[in-house]
Amino acid sequence: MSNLNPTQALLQRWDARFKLLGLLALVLAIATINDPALLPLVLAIPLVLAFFSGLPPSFLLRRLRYPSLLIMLLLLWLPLAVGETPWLSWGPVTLYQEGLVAALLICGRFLGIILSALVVFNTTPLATTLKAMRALGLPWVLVDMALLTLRYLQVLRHDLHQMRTVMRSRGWQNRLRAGNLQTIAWLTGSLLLRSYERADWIYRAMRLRGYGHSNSRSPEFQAGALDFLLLAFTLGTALLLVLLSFM
Amino acid sequence: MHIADGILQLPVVAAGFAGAGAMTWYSLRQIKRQGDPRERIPRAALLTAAFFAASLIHLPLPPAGVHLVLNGLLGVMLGWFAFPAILVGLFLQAVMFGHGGLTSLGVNSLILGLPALLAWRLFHWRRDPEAGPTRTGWRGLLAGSGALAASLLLFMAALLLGLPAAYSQESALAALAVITAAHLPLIVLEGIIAGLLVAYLQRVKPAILNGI
Repeated sequence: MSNLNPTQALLQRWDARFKLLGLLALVLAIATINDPALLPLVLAIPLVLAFFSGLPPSFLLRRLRYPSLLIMLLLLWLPLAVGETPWLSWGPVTLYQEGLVAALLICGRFLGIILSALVVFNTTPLATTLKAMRALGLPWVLVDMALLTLRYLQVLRHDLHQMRTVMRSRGWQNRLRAGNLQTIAWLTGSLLLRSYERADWIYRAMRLRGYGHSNSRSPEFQAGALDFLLLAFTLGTALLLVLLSFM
Repeated sequence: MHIADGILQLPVVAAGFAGAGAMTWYSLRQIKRQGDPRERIPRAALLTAAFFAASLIHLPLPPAGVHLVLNGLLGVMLGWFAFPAILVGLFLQAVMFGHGGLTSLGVNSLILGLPALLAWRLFHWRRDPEAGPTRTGWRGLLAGSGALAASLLLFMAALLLGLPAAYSQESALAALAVITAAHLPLIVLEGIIAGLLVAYLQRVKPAILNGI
């Protein structure tokens, strides 16, 4: 949450449960788009969300720096291999119109979904988002697992980093050799062992603090008129996208 | 082996969510049948986090290098918890790092989760818990590479089903053949590491391989 502006932007104040429902409707609506004429609208949605999020544009651009490898492969492959109508020929290389449109659609949907998700998930702490999911009916086993995984992920990444630093200081080099594979396996094994043993005392500490004694839902979410209004607007936009894509 | 957002058609996205929802429901039902899950949740969560961290280990496989998937090993150690663990892991990866996708979360969970459960069954089938590290290691190798190979098959099936029918199936198959060939070394590598890792755990703490 360190990326947020100090002023409480509209999306930051929006009830996390309603925000999740709105995001779900939007990303599913974007996934239905098969008409390239709708791509400007698809890209306008996350831009509007970003405007009201209070997130600096540089943060969003930084997160988009590593697009999916599969997306990159499809963007290169589709215009070259799919379609019958030549769009551009250059020596033996021909770009086809149908493939280009397909690549644009995939790219547009990808950007629309990933940007919307980035904005939504970065305007609420992840732990609050998970609690909102529990409030929406997600099984408590999943939510508790997610919260604990989230809590200990940083600790374990730190452990792994330390273990690798120690290995490097003893002269280990990350090269593909039989001996190195054994070292990597043992490193991973040590990480799993540490986690396994750590889990027992964590459970005992959690029990001492009352874990499992109450199933009552957290009363921290209270929706107001603005929350309902924003949800209605988002659902309306999603519905409009779906209607336009089927017209 | 993650399918990103924007690639799959809506019916495949919906089928993925329905399948993942059904598998999660069934897994949770089996977990609750084995008794109160509260005691096992921290162990499952910490192992999920450990697998998450371990998947960040970079292996220098030319030309670019690869990351371990370890879904087979996760299945071996977590049993019925494996599917929810993979779902949680993929969700956190999508939200925190933008890897994978939100609309493809159901499909990706099935791609990695079903083979994890298969590996669990395969590993424990007629297994002697007192067997030595070498024999157990071979089981680990089979579970590790078998799970990844099954994931690759599911990944290709999802892509073939998910791309619109208008796209040439021949060129799609040719592209998928290239993807398969690129993944074969990873399947071998993952099997070797899973085998060595299981042999190590059998030597140091065999109880960890009996499930949580």
